[in-house]
Amino acid sequence: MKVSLDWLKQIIAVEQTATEIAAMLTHAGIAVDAVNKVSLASEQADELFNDEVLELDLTPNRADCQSILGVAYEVAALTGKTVALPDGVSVGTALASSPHLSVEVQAPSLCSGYLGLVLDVSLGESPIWLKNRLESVGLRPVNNVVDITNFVMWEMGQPLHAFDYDRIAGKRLTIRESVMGESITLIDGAARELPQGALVIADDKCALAIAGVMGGQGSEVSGSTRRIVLESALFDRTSIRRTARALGLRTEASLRFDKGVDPSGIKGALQRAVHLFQSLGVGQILGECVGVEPVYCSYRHVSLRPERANSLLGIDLRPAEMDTILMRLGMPTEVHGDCRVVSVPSRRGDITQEVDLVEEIGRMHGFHNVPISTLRGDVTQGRLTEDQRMSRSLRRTLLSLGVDEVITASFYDPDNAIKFMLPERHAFRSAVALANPLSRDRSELRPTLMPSMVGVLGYNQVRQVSGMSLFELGTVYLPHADKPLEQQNLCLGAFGVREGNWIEQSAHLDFFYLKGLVEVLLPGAQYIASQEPFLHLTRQAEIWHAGTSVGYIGEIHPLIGLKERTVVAEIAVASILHSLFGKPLYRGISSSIAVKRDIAFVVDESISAADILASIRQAGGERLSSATLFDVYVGSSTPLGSRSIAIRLEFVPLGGTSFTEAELSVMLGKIRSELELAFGVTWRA
Amino acid sequence: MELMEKLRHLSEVIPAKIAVLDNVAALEELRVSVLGKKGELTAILRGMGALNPTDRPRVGQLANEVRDQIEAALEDKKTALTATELVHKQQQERIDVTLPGRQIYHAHVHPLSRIIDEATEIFLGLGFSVAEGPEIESEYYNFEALNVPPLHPARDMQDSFYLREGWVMRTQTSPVQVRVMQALSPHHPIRIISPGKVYRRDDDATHSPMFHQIEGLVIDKGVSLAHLKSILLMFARQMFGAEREIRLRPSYFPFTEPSAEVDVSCGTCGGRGCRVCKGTGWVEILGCGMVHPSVLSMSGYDPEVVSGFAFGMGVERIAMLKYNVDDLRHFFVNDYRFIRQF
Repeated sequence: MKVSLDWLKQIIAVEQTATEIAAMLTHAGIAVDAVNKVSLASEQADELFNDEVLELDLTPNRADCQSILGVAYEVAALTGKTVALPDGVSVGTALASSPHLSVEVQAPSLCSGYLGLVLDVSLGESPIWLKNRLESVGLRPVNNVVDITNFVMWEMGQPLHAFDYDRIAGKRLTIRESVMGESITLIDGAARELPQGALVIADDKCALAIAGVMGGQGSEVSGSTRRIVLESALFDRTSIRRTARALGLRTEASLRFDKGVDPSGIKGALQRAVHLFQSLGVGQILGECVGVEPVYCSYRHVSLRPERANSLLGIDLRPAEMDTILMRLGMPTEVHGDCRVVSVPSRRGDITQEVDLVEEIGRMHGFHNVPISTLRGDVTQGRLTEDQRMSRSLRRTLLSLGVDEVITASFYDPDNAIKFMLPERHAFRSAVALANPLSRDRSELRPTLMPSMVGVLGYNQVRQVSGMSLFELGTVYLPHADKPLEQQNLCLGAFGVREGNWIEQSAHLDFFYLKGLVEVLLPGAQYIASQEPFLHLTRQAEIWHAGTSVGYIGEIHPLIGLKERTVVAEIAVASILHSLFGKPLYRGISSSIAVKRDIAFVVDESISAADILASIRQAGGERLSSATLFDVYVGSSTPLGSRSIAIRLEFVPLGGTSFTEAELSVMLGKIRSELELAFGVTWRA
Repeated sequence: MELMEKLRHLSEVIPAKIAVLDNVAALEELRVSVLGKKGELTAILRGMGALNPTDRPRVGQLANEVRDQIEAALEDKKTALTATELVHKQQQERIDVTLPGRQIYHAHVHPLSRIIDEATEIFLGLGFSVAEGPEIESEYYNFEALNVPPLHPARDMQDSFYLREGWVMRTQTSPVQVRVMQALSPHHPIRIISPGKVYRRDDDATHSPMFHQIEGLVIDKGVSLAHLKSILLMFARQMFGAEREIRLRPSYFPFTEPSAEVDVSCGTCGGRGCRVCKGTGWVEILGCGMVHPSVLSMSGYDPEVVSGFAFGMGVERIAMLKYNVDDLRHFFVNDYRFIRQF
């Protein structure tokens, strides 16, 4: 809403500058975004008309400030000045019948008031001052008739509409809901099919205008117009809003009806317009005003307990001070015991209950005058839940392991099915769909964090970074019978090298780097070769932990189009939290020193490391405290199809004694014969 | 007295020889040649038996003196030489201390997580707990229970994403507050914050369809706007700096009344006015207000008995202000040159 300072001053005699008024309004909740100077043509050819314009950013509850008059009431409350109603606005003028026009409201629930007045007009250009008024607030002058209706709308907040009287068939206006298939050509020249149930103003033949939104071309005021019907009406907010939205038309009129216009204003606006028609010599009334007057109360009674206002605001105003504030807002009060009954004028449709009055008192008193006082009450323990605490630990653990955190959007592209070569019925193809997405590539909610991670890694790969290791903790959304499930996942992704320097070797951020991270997070997990279509055929595994599949790890498939070999892993967070951050229980430290022995052997390369280690642990029994695979070698000294493996065994004697050589060789012998038996290994020197 | 002469000779010659030696090995060689089994002084001491008994005590005494003198000189020299050699050895091991250290990568927490963590710490310290809830919500929790009935104009303020099944992506974390209120009403006081992702159907330079919010809720007997101001001031000062001030401007939200926008004094210019604060000296950081009585009663509290306040802030906005980030999009692109700055 734009407010011309010069225009405002016609209604209220303020002395403050535009900037001062802007500050005052802003602190009272009518946010002024900007104060702009405008210079327009004036009656004197060599002079300019200078004005200042306040740009208001109104909150949806302040429909009353969508007019110069409404803003003037607010300024009056803030300055103590009084509002002078614009010329022509008076009370009275009863409705009568007219031989020139009849009005029939067939949809009274959507149109609670409708006034029509026939005028003889002589169409032409508006005077410069009127054009300036419109231009200063961003309206385009059209002709004197349309300009007067726009002027009055801006000044009084009541939208008006002018029909060409001679193009109204049957000289009768009917306010009704549109019927199926009905259409109208609007003044913008576009033929529009009307949504069923839209409120229209029709003559005996067809719809002439979409009520409160836009007029039709057929009855538009044009060069040949001699007589007009001037409409001032009260249409249902919800209906206007729905119609305007359905048609994608947001007009100054529809915005005002949508937010709510003052029911007491429809007659005043008509009077103001008539005054302008007459005083500018644009038109004369032809007959009486016809139609239906709205039924409304000039004042609504809302009760207020001053004590409650003080306690909610944390201030200490005397009831009389509150009376003064309310009086300035045009709300007289009456004392009823501890209570005030406040008369709220109809233009303040937003004030219906006590707390609305408390707000009025608060904002007029000034939030800066509310003291700062420390919150009291029982001492409360601020704390995190166990899961929140563990999630935080997980993030810190990953950071301490040198993994950078990323955050990506939750949206998902259905074309990921193609990009990641997902077959029909793959879990990552069934995503929760948005009903009103912004674009196709963001039309679903992600069932996996992987594509986002691949996106971030790919983005950085083409930007000259030698390597990255990233994690994201985020929600995935899984379709479910009733409500989609939300699950917390951890996605890890890496590529390239962590560059070394003159003393440090570069570290590869490859499959086994990522697996190392997963091993920290999920000690004791199993890795079982898998067949995810988006991963490298032979470099991928499903991760199993505590008897369930909890995720996957692998190198991204070479066809996915990344510049570098890239590895990812995705794990359900719930599986990590309790295994990693559960309560640790001390197990005791053996007082004996562990004995270490290395074994090295050649074995068929089809035998997995996991199987070999499992069988060693089995054979080693409880005195084998660890078995560490420290070397794998394939080369000229190993037969084709086999590899050499070296493992360090650590034995800890029980009960604080130490091993004899004989005991050791028995244990080693058992392990050796088990390996020979199970895998046919041959020993290396 | 030939022996006496020899001894005197030794006591002069040997210390002089010791003085010019420059390594421990040569020193040891000298020691052996004087004090070893076949050493000169040892030979003299052995020859004592041939002396006549009257001379023996004198010669013996002198021999002992000379031996002690030589041993002491040897020891002193050895200590001195060892120290010199250690210095020499370390000089050989000189490194260029200005060479860079081994590469140790320190990871970077995402700036949005950083703000959420920091805000969480602040509010935990003020006795708040952290509440979380689903991102996919029913219209009841996202709108109705927050005093936004269907067709309310406020639904225009936050055009929302809907799922085909009619669920809505939460447009704020307030549904979490409703769930907490329902669980704790009608008697328990509440002090919570709810951080998390929220969604609005907006995408331009200053709006992202997904962003993060931290909202707070306090419900108790006698809670007032003055208490809200004190909590917000403490928050603003801990988050942005002890010298900051806040101001509240009346505003409108359907779930609070009175409502306010909160500005913090501009950190770039200290409130004098600059480009960051568009010359006003203030920058907007959050919205807040007293919980609307309808919201309280819908969730089972009696607004005649308790009152409350709520506030909500955009994490991206706080991060942009605090870290001087000029473009919202950086947060979700995750360019390495961006994330490695935090």
